[in-house]
Amino acid sequence: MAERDAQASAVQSSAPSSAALARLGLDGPVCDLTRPNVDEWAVRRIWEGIQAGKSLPPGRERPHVMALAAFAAVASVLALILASTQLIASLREPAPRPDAASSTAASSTAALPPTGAPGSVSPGVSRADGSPAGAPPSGASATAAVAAGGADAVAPLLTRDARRFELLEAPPALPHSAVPGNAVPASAVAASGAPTARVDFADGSSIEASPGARVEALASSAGEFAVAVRRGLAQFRVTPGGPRRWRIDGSHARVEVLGTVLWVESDDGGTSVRVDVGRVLVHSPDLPGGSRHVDAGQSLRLGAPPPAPDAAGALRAPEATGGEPAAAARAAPNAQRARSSALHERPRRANPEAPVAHRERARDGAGAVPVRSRAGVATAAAALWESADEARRNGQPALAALRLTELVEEYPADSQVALAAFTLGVLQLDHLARPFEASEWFQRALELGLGAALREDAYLRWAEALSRARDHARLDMVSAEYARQYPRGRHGRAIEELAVAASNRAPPASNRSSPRPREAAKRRAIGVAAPPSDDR
Amino acid sequence: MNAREAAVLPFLRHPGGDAPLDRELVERAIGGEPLARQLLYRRHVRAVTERVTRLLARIGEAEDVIQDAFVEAFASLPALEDRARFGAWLMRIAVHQAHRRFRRRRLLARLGLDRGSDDARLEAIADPALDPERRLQLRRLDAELAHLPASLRLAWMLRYVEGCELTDVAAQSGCSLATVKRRIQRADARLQARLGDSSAPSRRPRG
Repeated sequence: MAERDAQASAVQSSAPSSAALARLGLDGPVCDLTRPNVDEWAVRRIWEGIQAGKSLPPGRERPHVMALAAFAAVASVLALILASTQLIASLREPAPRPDAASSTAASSTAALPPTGAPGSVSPGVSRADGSPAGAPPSGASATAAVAAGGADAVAPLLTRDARRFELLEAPPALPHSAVPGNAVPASAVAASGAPTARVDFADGSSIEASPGARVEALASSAGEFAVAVRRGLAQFRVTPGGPRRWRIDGSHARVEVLGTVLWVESDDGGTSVRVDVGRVLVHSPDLPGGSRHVDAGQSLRLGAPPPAPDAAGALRAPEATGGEPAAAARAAPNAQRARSSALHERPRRANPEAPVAHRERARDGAGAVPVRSRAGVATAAAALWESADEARRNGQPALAALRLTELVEEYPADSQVALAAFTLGVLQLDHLARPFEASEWFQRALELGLGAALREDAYLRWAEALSRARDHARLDMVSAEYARQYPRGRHGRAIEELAVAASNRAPPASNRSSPRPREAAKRRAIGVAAPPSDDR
Repeated sequence: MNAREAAVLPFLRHPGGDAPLDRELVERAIGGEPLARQLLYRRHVRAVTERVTRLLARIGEAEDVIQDAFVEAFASLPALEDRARFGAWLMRIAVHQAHRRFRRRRLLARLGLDRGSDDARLEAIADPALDPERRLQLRRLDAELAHLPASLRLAWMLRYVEGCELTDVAAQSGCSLATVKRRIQRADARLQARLGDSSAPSRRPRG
């Protein structure tokens, strides 16, 4: 032992020297040659993680992981039992009755109601004021009749105040909103103060009519709830799992809803369907085979394309549209010039490649803009821009968002998508009061390669959206990422202030009912109880 | 200078050093004073961060390790006997955590699940004023260190990169002095062999 200690002390007394280091030509501790960057952000981030980790019970450092694992195990067992039960039930189930099959077929191939047909309201549904079903609207109204007995009233879908839905109508907000295709969804126009109409049902479903839109009840029974969008844009939120099938008729299509959130816009020229959540089945004579499924994130236009000012303007070179928007609008009264709207410059060119979604839609014969050439694709994308900008000028941000979403989803390879995503973020944040969606769009704009001139702005708006959405963890991440990307960025102070304000609003880690995941907490750049700086 | 600064600044004048201050802070932290923990953290976080970053060569993993080390240290603070040696004790915990992280990384790499990148290699965190020749040497050292097993690499780095005494290396590695010496020798021999091979490829026997 004494010999070993002596040897160790002898080794220690000499400066550390390595033959390998000598072979490399290095001498002395290599740490003297390095200078790891220990920035203040990292120090604060780690401290925040320590604070969060402190609240975890000892011996169970990752309770959420254990809880998830337990949940997964239980869910697996339940799924196995359910699958076995269904398998056994299917083996015991008799063959389907022929009358049921014929009933389904008859329902799916039923003739579509004519546009604005007044007589399409089913006899079982009556107006509360006794007016005829096709009477012109006199103002914002969400008419409902008290549920009554009768053959058609077997367990009908009632509104929240126990009435039967009959008619939902919102007056036009602006003079031009009477034009089909310019309607505004109800929830989306709170900022602009446009009158909307909404009806909530007992099962949690709802219908929202945008200004100028008119939605009429067709039937309400135990098995089906049918409405018709006579004109304008309406949003449907259907609670999934209910016993009834929802059917929505437009001028050129019939939509069978399978538990979803969707928009339906109908006018004399055509019917647009956009699905946000879930899946729908669209029937239309214009579709090959008569029907087609539309999934979440997809949209479909049947009939004439959405109103676009003029194709010549859409095809015009964007270079001619630079300059101040209002001045440009005065200089040339076409839609392309009007596109250079409030926010930013337009992309320089449209993508020459036809996007897959467009080709697929064109092949199916249900394309909104049935063109195949490069110029046609550019026209289609530009037409969506035109329509979006037109809607924005008219104070219809939701419609603009709808058009831009179509642009992003259907032309993902287009050079305009990043800018469209950014514009969507601005619309969602500034006009539609949807900060969460706005944050998603700003993030997507950055991921899509937004131009350098706007990237810093996108970070700022993203942080602002997250601040409003009270997503403090992601806000801190954005703040740190911005500081990393732009150490001397012009928005650094503003973003930092947002992060600090958010952290001041957040409850202390020790007061949280359940501790945040450590990884997320670790990324909180600015702690609630930030340690004092030693830079003083 | 306000009251808070007056209370805090004396502890921040000698970050990482001055054992009596550590003793006082540890006792205050055990007594439940949150500020004492913050000050302990502030005094030692830079030293721990620099060492762990050099050892792990990954900034993200280093932050994880540092957090885990401080959480573990604060949780077992009452068990610390020599409270003036908080810094060394903390460093031992951090190095132990880094060792565990290394082994986990190797396992993930074997399974093809290690997707991290070494963003804090010695060459990457070199002093900006370092001449290019030295940078090249550090790069070669990085490349060769990547081939060493975790235990050998850790011991060798603590000794020759961090400049630790052998007893400190043994304490931080959690093994005996003899084991540490053996590991350092083996690591050095392997590095020599690899550096010899890579520096003089023409001397390799052909065939």
